Amino acid sequence: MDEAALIRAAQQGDQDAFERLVRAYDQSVLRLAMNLLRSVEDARDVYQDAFLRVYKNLHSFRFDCSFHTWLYRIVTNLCLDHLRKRKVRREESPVAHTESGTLDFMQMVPEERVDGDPQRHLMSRELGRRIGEVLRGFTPRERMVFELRHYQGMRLKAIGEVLGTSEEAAKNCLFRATQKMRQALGDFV
Amino acid sequence: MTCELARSRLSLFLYGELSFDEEEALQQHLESCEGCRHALEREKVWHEAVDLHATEPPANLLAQFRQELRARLAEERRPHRTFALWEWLGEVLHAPYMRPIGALALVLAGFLAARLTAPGVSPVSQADNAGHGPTATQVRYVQPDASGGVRIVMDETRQRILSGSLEDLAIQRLLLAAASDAADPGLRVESMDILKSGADSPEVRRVLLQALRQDPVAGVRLKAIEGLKSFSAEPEVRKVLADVLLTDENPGVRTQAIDLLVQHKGAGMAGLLQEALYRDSNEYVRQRCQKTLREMNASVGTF
Repeated sequence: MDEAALIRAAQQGDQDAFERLVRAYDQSVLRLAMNLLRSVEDARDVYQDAFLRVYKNLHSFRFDCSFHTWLYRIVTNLCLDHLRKRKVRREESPVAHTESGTLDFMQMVPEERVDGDPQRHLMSRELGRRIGEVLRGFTPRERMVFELRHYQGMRLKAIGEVLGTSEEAAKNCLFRATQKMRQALGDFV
Repeated sequence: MTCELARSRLSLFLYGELSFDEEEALQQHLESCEGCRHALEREKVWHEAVDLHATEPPANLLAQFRQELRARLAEERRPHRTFALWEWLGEVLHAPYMRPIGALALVLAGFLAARLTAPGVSPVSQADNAGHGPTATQVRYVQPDASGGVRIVMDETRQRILSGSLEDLAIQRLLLAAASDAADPGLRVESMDILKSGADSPEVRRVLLQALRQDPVAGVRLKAIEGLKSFSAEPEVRKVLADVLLTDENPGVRTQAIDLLVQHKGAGMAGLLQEALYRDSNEYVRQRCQKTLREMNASVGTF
C-alpha cells in the first residue's frame, strides 16, 4: 500500500494503517527531537505529543502538502516550544530515566575509534564538547534550521515550508548558524 | 568577488544552496585564489566534524516510546462517558409519573432499531459484519451495475493475529524473521527481547549470534548478547564475543562482551584482554579489562 492509501485508511480509522505510518516516520522524528533538544525526556514528550496530534488531526489532512512536511511542521513547532520554554526554565538535562535504566544522552553520540592514540582521543572529545556548546548557543530558529539542513539533509525550500517562512529567511538563519560554528571551531580544524 | 564575500558563502556552497549565479562567481574566485581554496578545505573539515556529532536514538528507546504511544492511543480510543445527558435522562425516567411514558419510549426505540438493522436494508453493514477482523482497503474502481446499484472493486490487506508460545514453530519462525527485519530496528529489538529466552534452540542461537556480529543498531546487539549469557562457554559464542570485544563500535556492547567472556576464563583470555586494553579508546572498557586482568593475576603492562 502506498503512503497516500495508508493515510486514507488511517483517516477512516484503520489502526493498523496508522501504526504503519508511525513506524515509517518515528525513527526520524525521534532523531530530530533528540538532536534538537539534546535531552531524552524532552524528546520523549515531543515524540508522544507529535503522534497524538497526528492521530487527533489526521482527518483534517487534505494532501495540500506532503505528509512529511505536515508531520515535520508539528514536530518542529513542538521542539521550538520546548527550546523557548527551556530558555526561561532550566538548562538541558541530558539524562533520562527509562524502563531500561538511566540513559545518558552523551552516550548516544557515537564514539570515534581512535585505536589507542590518547592525544587524538582528547582532541576528538574536546571538539565534540565545543560543537555541543555552539549548538546550545544557537537561537531556537538557528538550531532548527541547522539541524534540518545539516543532519536531516532537507533543502532550504522545504525547511521554509515546514517552518512557515520563506526560503530566503531560512537561508539567512543557516548563514548565521554556520558563521557561529566556523568561528568556534576555527582554531580546531 | 572579494575574499571576504567568498568565504562567507563557503558553507552554503557545500550545502548546494547558492543560486546559479552566486555559485558561478564563487567557482571563478576559487580558481584564482589559493587562500580561499584552503579555506574551503577547512570548511569541509568542520562540516565532517559536526557530522560525527550527530546522535542516533538507541533502538530500545524507540521500542519503549512506541509501546508508550500505543498505550496512549488506546486510552484515546476508549469511548468517553457522555454523562450529563444520560444522568439527566436517568433522573427524569426514574420519576414515578414518567414510568409509563418511559416504557412506551423503549418499545418505540426497539421497534425502530429492528427496522434499521433488518437484513437487506444495508449491504454495507452486511459486509462490515462478516467478522474477518480489521482490513486496510483501497477502492480500485467503481461502476454502475445493471440493477441500478453500484459495483465496487477493492484491494484488501487483512491483518492477522497469531498467538502462541515461543516453542510453537510458527511463532518462532515469524519472530526469527522479525528479528532480521532490516527496515525496522524497533521491531528487531522487540523480537530479540522475546527470542532471548529461547536461546536453547540452535536456530535462535544462530540468529542471536548473527545479530551480535552484524546488526547495525547497538540496542539490538545488546539484546542479542543478553540472550547468549547462558552459553558463554561454547566455543562458537566465545569466538564471536572476542571479535565483538575488539571490533564493536559501541562501548556498552564491548563491556557486555567482557562480562560474558570472564564467566569462563579459559586459555587465551589474558591475551585477548591485553589486546583490548591496548586498542580500546574508551576509558571504562580499559578499566574493565585492567580489573579483570588483575583478578586473573595477569600483567596489564607487558604487551
